[in-house]
Amino acid sequence: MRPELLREAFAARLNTALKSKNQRSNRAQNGVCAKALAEIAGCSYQMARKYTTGLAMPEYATTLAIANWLEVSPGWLAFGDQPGDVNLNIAEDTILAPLDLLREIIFQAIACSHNVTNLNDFTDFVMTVLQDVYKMKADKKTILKMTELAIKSYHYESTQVKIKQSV
Amino acid sequence: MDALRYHYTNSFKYRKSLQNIFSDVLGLHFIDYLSIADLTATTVTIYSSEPALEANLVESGLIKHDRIYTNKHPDNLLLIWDNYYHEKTDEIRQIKTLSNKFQFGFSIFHTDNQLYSFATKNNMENAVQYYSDRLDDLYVIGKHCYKQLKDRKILEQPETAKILSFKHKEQKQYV
Repeated sequence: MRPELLREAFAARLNTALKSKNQRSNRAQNGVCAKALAEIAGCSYQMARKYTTGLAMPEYATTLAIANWLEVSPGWLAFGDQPGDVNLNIAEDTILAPLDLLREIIFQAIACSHNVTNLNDFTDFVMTVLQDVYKMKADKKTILKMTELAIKSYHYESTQVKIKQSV
Repeated sequence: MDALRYHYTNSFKYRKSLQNIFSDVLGLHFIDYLSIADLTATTVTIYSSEPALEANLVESGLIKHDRIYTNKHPDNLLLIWDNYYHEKTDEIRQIKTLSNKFQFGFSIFHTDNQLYSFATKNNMENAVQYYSDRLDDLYVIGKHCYKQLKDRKILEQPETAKILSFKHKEQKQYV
């Protein structure tokens, strides 16, 4: 792969993670603030901006420090999920959810799936919940609790609909 | 005077019901977000089409700087969100509008201590004028949704989670 494509792919992942950490800037063209990144990376502000705009890539040791700060996998930040696959639209249509959150959602979904008559509707709803909790910035316990509550709400609504239909 | 207490967990507890209620009205007048806040002198209980918005506002402690959540507003007026941030303006704007890609957000107060909040992703030229012209319609939409919450016995239900405090804690966050 051409070096400029690798740098652009790295910048896209970095910007996604920076935005998730609320390192945003209304003035910057790519919408991210590079000030804190420069501090973590131990480089100049100008160099940090080059990382976010795809003009430069840091050394792996620096990438590791950035990944730890952003709480993302260093491998993902450096190479992406699939090396060679450049996806510059990652923020628009991809969710990078932690495995334990995904596990909880799948667990809750399976636990609640009995008596579900419309599996498509239920699956779409579980995806909605995933998107909801993914946007939350809270401690893990709160997020998992909200996940459980939200998925269980499917049964409450089903019951309400049945009561309404029987009246 | 006691500080206001904010409840957002019902937005998750009744997520499916709220999705059904709000799906009837989302899209009308380019509305992409709707929430109903039930206000008392001491508590604010929010039912939202985007539960993470209020969750983040409460969990960050920033909601206490957002003066839109009070029952001191005049009835049936367009209350533009940006005019009610008291300190921490950029952070609140980030949570309420920017992170959700909303272009314009506003609320309408109902005398029965209800606050209807709306936001749009549409980048229209004169949103204030557009929504001022449709205020009565939006008021009816808010009232309709509130009635739906009542009919489905969602309003009467107690909060499940314990009351969430303002205090912002250092927390590990999901990325």
